[in-house]
Amino acid sequence: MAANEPESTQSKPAAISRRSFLFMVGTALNVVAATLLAIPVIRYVFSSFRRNVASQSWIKLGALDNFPENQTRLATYRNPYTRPWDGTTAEIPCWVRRLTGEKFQVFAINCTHLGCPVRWFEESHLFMCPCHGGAYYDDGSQASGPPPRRLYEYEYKIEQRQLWVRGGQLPTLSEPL
Amino acid sequence: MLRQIAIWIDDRLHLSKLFDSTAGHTVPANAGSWFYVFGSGTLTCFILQIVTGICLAFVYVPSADEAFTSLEYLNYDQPLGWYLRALHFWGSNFMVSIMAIHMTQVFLFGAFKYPRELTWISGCVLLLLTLGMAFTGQIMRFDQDAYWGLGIGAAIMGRMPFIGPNVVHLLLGGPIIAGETLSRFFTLHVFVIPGLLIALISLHLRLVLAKGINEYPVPGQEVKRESYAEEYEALLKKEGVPFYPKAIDKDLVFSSLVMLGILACAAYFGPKGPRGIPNPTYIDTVRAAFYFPHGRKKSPAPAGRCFGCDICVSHIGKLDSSGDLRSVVAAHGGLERHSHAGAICARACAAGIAGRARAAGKAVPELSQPGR
Repeated sequence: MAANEPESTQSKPAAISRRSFLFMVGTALNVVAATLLAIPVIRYVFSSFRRNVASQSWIKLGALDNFPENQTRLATYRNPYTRPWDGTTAEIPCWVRRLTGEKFQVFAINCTHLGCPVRWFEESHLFMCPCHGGAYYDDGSQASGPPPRRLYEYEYKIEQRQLWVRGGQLPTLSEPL
Repeated sequence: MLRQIAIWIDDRLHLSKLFDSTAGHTVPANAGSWFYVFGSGTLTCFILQIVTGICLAFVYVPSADEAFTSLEYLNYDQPLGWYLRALHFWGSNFMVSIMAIHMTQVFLFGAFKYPRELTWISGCVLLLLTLGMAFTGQIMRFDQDAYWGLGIGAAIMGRMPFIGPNVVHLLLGGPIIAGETLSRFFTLHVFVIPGLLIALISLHLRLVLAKGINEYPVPGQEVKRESYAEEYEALLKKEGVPFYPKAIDKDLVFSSLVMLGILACAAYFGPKGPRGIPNPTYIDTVRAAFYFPHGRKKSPAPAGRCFGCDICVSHIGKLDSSGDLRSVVAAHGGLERHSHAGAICARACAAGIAGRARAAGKAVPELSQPGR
């Protein structure tokens, strides 16, 4: 065994031994492998962190005749950002207020305070939120309570006497529709 | 013979040494007080939650479509499924309460001072993780409360400056609540946060053993960093007793009372919901609007137990404008069509419908009930 000792370690005492070189190689390889593993894992977990603006799409809400003038009605649509196993969770409601002719206001169901579903009351012409008592007038502006802004409104269009809205996103204060 | 087996095992596992350094470690004699039992009480709750959680995970399906159905199956068809659900629900209530009491006791006794600062800090992180478990756990119920509660959580997260919208998308697994959201919360609740909890609890316990249980505080006696270590060692020498068997008695009693309390609450109050199919278009949610005259009242259930699942409301629809549920129920073939585990559930449904009709001031429908 003594004959196998390389002469380099005897002649240059400050040189790296084979053991420590192998250690460094092993560490470097592990760093490379860990990085190659971390990149796809982190991209997978945080894939939704970077917002995809194209997640919104045009959704058909129904024929114009379904929404009589000067009335506010509940309409529902199937969430375009859906998974095959969503079931009834993918049915999203919204409040459609038709003014006159082709002028509409389509409000999101979420209260602007914390997101609970607001309810329309024909008797008092108010949207009221059951969670903390927020109230909005029939045009969506704040009437009372904790909501900090008016109701979120969908962008809409009329095509061939059908009402379409641009949706697919949960509206929040920092990212309204 | 048994002794030889024990010695054989101990030679290989070193169990007696492990025992001496953990359960048998020395504590000051005055630390055997009732005030010190809350830490082990919290641990008892945690172990109970893991056991009941595993049992529930055998049946629960974490899919947006199937979660409600699997919970109904657990409630009505799985033998003792309702009891396991109730244990898990009440276990979480007890855990948060006892953890809060434990934190208060540690604070009032000054046990966070030198050299136990890291124990306190790890405990604070454990507090946040436990509350995270409570939040993610209630999403598992995936009923109307859970769905809109998710929206509320997202709205709160959305208020963070700069990264608010990104955090919302991360939390929901997308731009809106969809199937991915439930899966994400399930993973957090079953894998990520429990893993962190187990790791941190191990650290927390290791620190408790390493630094020792603090002695009962004496008013006016200050903790001096320079001399504390020797004072504590001297105290242990003078009046230290092994935790097992001398100081464990009160912990044993309290932990058993906690478990019995959870068992009793679970048996008496039953599980929570699920209340209402998580269909976002059902916006007349179960929550009572406090400023309305006819809020939701607890339905009297003389014959069966109404779990408040709201299947009667969800399936059969809102009370129709005539105020009479009879026609609506009849249109759905009456209650006989639905035979979840027989007569008990049909009676519960009838009780629930009757209660809701009464609460809303409408005529109570006569509903024929199968059997009994």
